[in-house]
Amino acid sequence: MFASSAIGAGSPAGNNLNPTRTDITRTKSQAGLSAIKEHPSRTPSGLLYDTPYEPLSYKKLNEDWRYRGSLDFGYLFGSGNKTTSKFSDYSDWSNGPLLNYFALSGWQERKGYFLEAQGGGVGRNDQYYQLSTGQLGSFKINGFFNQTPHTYTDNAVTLFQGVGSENLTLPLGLIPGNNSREQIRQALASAYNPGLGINREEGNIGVDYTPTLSTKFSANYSHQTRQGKRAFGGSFLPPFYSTENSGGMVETIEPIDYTTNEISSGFSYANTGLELNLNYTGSFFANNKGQLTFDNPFTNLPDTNFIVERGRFDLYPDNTFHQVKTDLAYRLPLQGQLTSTLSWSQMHQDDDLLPSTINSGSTFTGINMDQWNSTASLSQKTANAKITNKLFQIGLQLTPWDPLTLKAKFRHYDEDNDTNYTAFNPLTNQFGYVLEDGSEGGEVFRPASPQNSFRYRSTPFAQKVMEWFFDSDYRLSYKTTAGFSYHFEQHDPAYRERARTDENHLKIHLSNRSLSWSTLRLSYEYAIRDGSHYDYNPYMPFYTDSLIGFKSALPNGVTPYTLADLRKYDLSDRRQNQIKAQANFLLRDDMDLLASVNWINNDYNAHYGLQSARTISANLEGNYQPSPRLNAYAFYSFQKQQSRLSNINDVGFSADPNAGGRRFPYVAAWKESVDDINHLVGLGFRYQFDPFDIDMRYSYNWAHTDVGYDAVSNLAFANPEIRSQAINNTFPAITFTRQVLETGLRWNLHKDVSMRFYHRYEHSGTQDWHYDGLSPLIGNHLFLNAVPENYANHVFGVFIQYRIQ
Amino acid sequence: MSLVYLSLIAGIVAIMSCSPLSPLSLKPELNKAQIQAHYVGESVCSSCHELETNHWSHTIHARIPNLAAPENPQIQGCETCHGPGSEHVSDPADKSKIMVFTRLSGSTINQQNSMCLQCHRGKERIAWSGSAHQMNDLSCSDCHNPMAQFSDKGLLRKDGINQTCYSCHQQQRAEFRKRSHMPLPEGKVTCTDCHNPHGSSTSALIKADTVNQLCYQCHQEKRGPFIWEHAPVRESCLNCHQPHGSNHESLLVSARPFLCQSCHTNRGHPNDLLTTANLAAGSNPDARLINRSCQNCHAQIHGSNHSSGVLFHR
Repeated sequence: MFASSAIGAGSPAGNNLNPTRTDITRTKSQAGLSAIKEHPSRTPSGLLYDTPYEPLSYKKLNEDWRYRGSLDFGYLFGSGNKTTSKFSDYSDWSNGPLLNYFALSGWQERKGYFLEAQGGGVGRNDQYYQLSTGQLGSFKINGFFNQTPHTYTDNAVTLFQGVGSENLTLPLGLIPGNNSREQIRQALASAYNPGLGINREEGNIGVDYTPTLSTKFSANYSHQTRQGKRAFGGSFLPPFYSTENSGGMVETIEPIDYTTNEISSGFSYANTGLELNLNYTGSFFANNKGQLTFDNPFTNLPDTNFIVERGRFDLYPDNTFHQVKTDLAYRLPLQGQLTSTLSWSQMHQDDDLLPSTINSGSTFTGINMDQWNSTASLSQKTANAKITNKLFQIGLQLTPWDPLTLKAKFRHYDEDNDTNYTAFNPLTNQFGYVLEDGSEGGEVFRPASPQNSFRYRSTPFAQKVMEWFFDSDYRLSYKTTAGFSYHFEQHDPAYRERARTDENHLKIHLSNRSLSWSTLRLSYEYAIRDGSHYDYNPYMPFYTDSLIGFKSALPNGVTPYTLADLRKYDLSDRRQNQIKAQANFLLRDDMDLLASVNWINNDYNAHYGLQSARTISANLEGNYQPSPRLNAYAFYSFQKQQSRLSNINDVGFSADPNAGGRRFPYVAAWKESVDDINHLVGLGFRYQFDPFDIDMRYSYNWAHTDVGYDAVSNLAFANPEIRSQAINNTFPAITFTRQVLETGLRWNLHKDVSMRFYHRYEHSGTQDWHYDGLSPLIGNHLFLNAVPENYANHVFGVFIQYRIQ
Repeated sequence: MSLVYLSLIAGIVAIMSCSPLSPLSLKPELNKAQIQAHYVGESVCSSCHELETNHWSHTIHARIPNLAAPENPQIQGCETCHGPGSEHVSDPADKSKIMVFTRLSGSTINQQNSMCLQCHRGKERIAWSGSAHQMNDLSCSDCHNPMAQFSDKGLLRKDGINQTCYSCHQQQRAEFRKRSHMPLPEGKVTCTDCHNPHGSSTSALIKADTVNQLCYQCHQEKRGPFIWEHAPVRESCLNCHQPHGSNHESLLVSARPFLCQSCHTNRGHPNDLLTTANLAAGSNPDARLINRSCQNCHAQIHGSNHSSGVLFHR
């Protein structure tokens, strides 16, 4: 993490009890920031500045050194403080003693040497620490540690043993690949909660050295680990092919044991005319659990002797990343500036590859897996995958006469994917692989034998992006600026449905601070995207129908790769309209009102695929600061997102890829809509009445998603044989609510001692049809049953605050 | 393209080798009312602004020994940033006679910012000029208030980075409260982990050359490359994920399987319309619809390194 916009040493965030990582023992100044002004000042955009904290006091250590410290410690207790619960996602609310915050800082007055240490959540899963020392304006050594718990659910159940390891085995009594559903059901009686979650820890140390005001050197090292386990998929046979006992889909648990070491170094130079940044970053990722083997709880196809005992995943490979980047800015006459960025980076991984199956014997399609289950069956033993990125950018800004500023920028990004894997078995001299460890048979190229085409070699997806920007800003008056910009983007993806897309953007914008009672910022952008011919199947070179000897299973052509009329939304023609409007109203000397609207409308010129995506957001916020003792706020945000898509189910075995043809008949067409609505309300206040400070914050989020569908006929359905299905219907709404009420009451007993009472009430409810009626065993599917949790928890805290000052 | 590169690089060299028409200076721009003023010294300022001086004296600016403007090293304290104060002393009510960084300032945003940039030029602000915030006429003091220590670091106008950004970006505040979200409300991530508010060579002020390179800074395992790649994943994480928060799981832009079916018709099972009958409690439960939907089987959706992972099953 880089909790800083700067290059070089960063700093960690805080935690849920102190999200801003400020010294929570400080109180606000009752005198405000100025004795001259009756009301607080406003930013140039018109927002009220906050009431400052009381000026710091320092103790004298000796003639030169000053120091101060603070402590916030106490006890946390409440209901439902389970560390595995979703309530504790990114937080640790467990009952017990808590050193919530500490800080100690020392500072030498004459030479500017300093030492600062702070931290919070000591010993807990959301703890953070920072230690920094140095000399102001000269050098800084900064180290930090940050821990983040990411919990998934407290509801999961599994019968697998060895959760968290690379090997998931069935419990005693079950035989891999040979159990009836009833046997699995009985075994589930002893299923247990595996506690799904990941713990992320990061340690970081960095040095900044500023020998002169113009130059800065920095170096940074970070060590990051992620450990835990999360829900993962698994299949032995597509669920729609399997029968009552045969599996089927098996939800597994992925072990997470990642380590990343990262180094970076940089040099910055800035003088009157030239600014320059040079940076190198190297990142080295290691997955310490590189594969996952899991027993098959089900049988395979009935009426065969073939047993698939287990499956095996190849988990994320180790990888490395290197980047060298330079930014340059050169000042020119006419208040001009030339800027340029040059960046080169490379991602590389060369993990050992696993054979296409872990099992042996013969599949039901007759593939002898003994010839496919060793690394000798691979065309290459390691991945040797590499992507090289290059970025070049140059910009020029000039002000030929005072009110007018002209800008132009060119950007070229080139991504080159140098990955080439061919699924060729030297033992059998065949292209192909075993699928799902043999449960689904496999794909093996047999020249002259009728068969469907399949992918036999990797597709090195990559892209080039070229952009031109032109912008002119004109200062209409002292505090009003209007601008017009044009942006052209050419996107050249490799091996995609379009060789090129062109997008033209036109934008007008206005910033007006001239009115005494308001600041207004407006922009409107229109963009239109088109491009080269859309080829619905650019992947043929990577499929076996490109090989000599291929013979289609269909008499009149190859099974179509996809519906020819479908347009993938990242490449389809698109018209985009976007309006952004923001207004600050200076209602009174002690009151702000801020309103903003953002509307984006994407219309895709596609009969099938994503057809539209629209978002409208509206926000309103008010702040009231009548005195340094009191401030209150309220806000409301609304957001609606809508998307529409259309598709056609394929029926029959025609080679015709077109909509309305025999394979994709209009009668099997369907469409679907997703409407997301989100509301957020927030209220809060802070009030000081000696010797107490009270603050209260409340937020309520309510989200509602409707998913509806409409089909021409039952032929669109996955199960057309079920005649009772309505051809248009909606799924039960996906809803999510969360409300959080936080209250803090501080009792200032003495200049250096306070007592703080804390209460948090959090209530959350999720209803999601993906999980409605879910149980661990449904047909031939075995689930973790990780149903989203609802909870309502209280947390209470009693803390003592002590200040050394 | 090579010719374009050569021309542009030659252009850079040519421009940089030219002498400027007038000597470049880092001296801040003063407005006309202040330009005749002379320096009066910090003690004069603090005689009226005692409380302000008290607050400011505990900020990092006050602690740096001998802090002064680079082109005017003999001037220290208040006038380093506020400019010469004599005209202000003679007419305190006229805000144009001293450099003020507030709403009532008599100086333009450029003039205000030039005060800060005399020391804070380059480095992470190298792309400030032409950035989204600069083009919207934002002042340094719209986000920062160096008069007191409101925040732990950065002399922000609010007590945290996110709170400062939310002042204008309220929509993002709402997005971070959604069902799945980046842990900003919980204090574990800040806006500046991903964005550089001072400018970037990449759109949306992100701190990397591309969206994916930004995401890989924390999600390094997704970097790959994999022998079997998923095209939209390699292109941009934002094809499937919202950057801030979503009402769906894992910050997805829409509900599965419909998100996947936006692109996948193909042949066979991907193009079936799954209905309420296919819910877990329906007459024909279907793993393509329930639980993790498509990812129940296509678990390695970000790419597979398994020799038979072509469909992301392994």
